Amino acid sequence: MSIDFYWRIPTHGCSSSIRERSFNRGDWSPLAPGNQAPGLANGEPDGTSYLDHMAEIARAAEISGFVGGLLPSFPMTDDPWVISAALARATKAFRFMIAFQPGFLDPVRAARMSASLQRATNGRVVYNIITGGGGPSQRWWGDPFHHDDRYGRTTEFLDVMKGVWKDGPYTHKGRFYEVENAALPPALASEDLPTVYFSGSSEAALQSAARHADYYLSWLEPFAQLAQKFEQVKTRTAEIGRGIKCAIRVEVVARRTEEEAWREIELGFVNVKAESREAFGGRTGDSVGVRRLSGLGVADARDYRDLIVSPNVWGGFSLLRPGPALGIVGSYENVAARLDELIGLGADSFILAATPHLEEAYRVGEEVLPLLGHSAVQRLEAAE
Amino acid sequence: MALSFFWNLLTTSPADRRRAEWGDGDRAWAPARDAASRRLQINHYDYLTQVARVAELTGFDGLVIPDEPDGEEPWIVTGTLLRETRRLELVTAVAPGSASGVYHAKMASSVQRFSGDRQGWLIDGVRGLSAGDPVVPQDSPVRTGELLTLLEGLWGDGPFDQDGEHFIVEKGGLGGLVKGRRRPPVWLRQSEAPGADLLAHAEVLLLDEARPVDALADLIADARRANPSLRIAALLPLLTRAEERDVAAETAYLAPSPSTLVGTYDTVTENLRGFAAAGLDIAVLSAPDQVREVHIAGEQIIGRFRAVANAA
Repeated sequence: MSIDFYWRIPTHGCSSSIRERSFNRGDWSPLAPGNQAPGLANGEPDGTSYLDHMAEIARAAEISGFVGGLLPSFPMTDDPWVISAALARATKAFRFMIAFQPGFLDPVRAARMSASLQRATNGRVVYNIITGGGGPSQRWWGDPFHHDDRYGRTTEFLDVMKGVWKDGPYTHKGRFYEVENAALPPALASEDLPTVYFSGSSEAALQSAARHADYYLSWLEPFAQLAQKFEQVKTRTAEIGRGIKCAIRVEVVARRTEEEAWREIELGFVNVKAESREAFGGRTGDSVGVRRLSGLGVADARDYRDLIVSPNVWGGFSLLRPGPALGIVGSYENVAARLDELIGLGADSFILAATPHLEEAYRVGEEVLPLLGHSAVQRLEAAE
Repeated sequence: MALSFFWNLLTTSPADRRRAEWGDGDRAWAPARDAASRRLQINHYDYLTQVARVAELTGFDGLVIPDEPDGEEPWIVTGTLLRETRRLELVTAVAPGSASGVYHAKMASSVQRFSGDRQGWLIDGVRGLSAGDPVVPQDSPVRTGELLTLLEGLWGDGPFDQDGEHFIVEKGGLGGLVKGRRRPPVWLRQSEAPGADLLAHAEVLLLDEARPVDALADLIADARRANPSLRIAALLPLLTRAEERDVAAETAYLAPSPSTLVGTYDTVTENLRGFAAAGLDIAVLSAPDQVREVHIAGEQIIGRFRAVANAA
C-alpha cells in the first residue's frame, strides 16, 4: 500500500512564521519590515504577483517529494482553477487538487474545464469537492441552497459531469440540472476523470461520498473519533459495492526537538489577541465539521498547554491562522510517529501544511516523511 | 485613427488541431523510444501558447479566446497564458449560464491580479441544452444584464446585494482582491443584437458577422448612440499573400468564407484603413495554420498599417 502526500498551497497569502498571524507574503500587506511585497519594485509594479510565490511553493513541494497540493477556495482567496491553469506549465509532476463547490460551475462547464486542464497538465488534476460550509458565506457565493439540498445537488452534479465526460451524448433532466445530448469533443473526452477527494461530515455528505468519492477527506480530529468516522465511511461505501480510501488534512509543526516545536506554538499563542480567542467560539455556517471542532474549549484557554488534546496534537491552530483547530506538533520523529499512527487507523493519504509553506515543504519532505515506514510512503524515488 | 489588432485564438481548425497531439498511431515517424516521454513533455498547450507568444512578438495587442464547443475551454486557455505572455490583452469567452455570476467574477479577480489587469470578457449569451444551459434565447439578455450588473457590483468593497431571476448575492463583494484592479472590459457580440441597456454595460461591441464596408459606418453610429464610449471590434478572417497570383492560388486551395478579408498585403492593409476611417477600433484577425498566419498578419499587415500611421 502506498500513501500519497500532498502539500497545501496557501491561496490567500502566507506568513514567514507561524508565530505571526499576519500574511506578510502576498500583496495583501503593505511593504513593511519583514514583508515580502511581490509585484512592487521601488514602489512600482514589476510584473510579478502572488502567483509567482505560489509557483515557488508548488515547485518546492514537487522537488521535496510531494505528489501535489491542495488549492483551497474561500471568498478572499485566489481561484484554484486559475492558479492551476497558470501553474500547469511552471510545474512538472505537481498534481493540482482543486477545491470547488458544485454551486460554482455547471457540470458541463466543469467537465470541459477539467478535461482541458487535464490536457494542459498531462493528467494532473484532482478534485476536492466541498459541499459543506453554508450560512451567510454560501450566499456571498451567490448560492441559495440549504444544507441537505446541497448534498443532493452535489450527487447530481457529479452524475452529470461524469456522464457528459464519459458517456456522451448524455441526456439528463433532474432536480438541479438539465442537459440534452451533451458530450465533450473526442480529444477532451479521452482524458481521465480526476480523482475525487470529498469532504463533509454530515449524514447527507456521507451518502454522497459513498457514491462518488475516491477519497474521503477529513480534517484532523481526535484520533479515536477519526478512526470511527473512517470506519463508518468505509462501511457505508462497501454497502453499495464500492471501495473508498481515507485522507487527512493536517497542519504540522515539526522541529529537531519537541522543545523547539512547542516553542513555536507558545510564541504563536502569546501573539494571539484576546478578541481572536473570544471570536473563535462564534463561527457561523452550518458545517457539521466546524461544529465538531468548536467544542474544544479554545476560547477559554489562557496557556497554549491548555489546548494539548493528546500527545503531539494541539487544538489551537485556528487561533494562529484561519482553518482547522487540530494539528500535529513535535520532533521529526514524533510527528512521523503520529502520522504512522494515523495510517494505522485507516489513512491512505495526507494533505500536509506548515508555515512558511515554501521552506517547510523542504523540511517536512526531507526530515519527517523519510522517517515513516518506507513501504508506506510513495515518494518520487520509489516510483523510479 | 489608431486601430488595435487582436488575434482570434482558434483551437479547432484542422490545420492546428493535431499539433502536439499524441493519439494512437499518430506520428509514426517519431522514434519509438521517445514516444512516451514526448507524450509527457509536449502537449497541445505547448502549441497554443506558442501561437499566443508569436502574436505578442509580431505586434498584436491582444487575443480573443473563443468558446468553441469542440475546442479547449477558454478559462483554462486564458489561465495557461498568464505567465506565457507579458503584454497581450486576453479576451475570454464567458457564457453567463456556465457558472454562478459570483464565480465568474471571482475567477476574473485572480486573472486580473496575476496578469496585471489584462483580461476582458466576451459574452456568449445562450449555449443551449447540449451545454447544460436551459435558458431560452429571449431570456438571455436579462441574464447577461444581471451578470454585468453583478460584476460591476462585486468589483468593489461591497456589500453588494442582488436578487435577480438568474443570480443572487447577499453581502457580496471582492474587496481587497480587486482593490486597484481593472474590472474586465466587456465585449458583446453584434450577432446577439444587444439592446441599449446591455450596450450601456459594455466597453466593446464585436461585429461578428459579415458586413459590407458601407454599412459599417451606420452600424457604428447606431451603437455609439446607445453608449458613446463604446469601442467597435470586427471579427475578420484573413487570407493575405504578397502578390495577386499567390492570393489566387491560396483562394483556390482554401476556399475562404465570403466574410474573409482576401487580398494582397497592400490591398488588405488598405481595406483595414478604410474600416478604421469608418470608425473601427479593433480588428480581430483569424486564420487557420496559426503560427504561420500570425507572422504574416503581424509582419505584413500590422507592419504596413503602423509604418504608414507612424509616417503620417
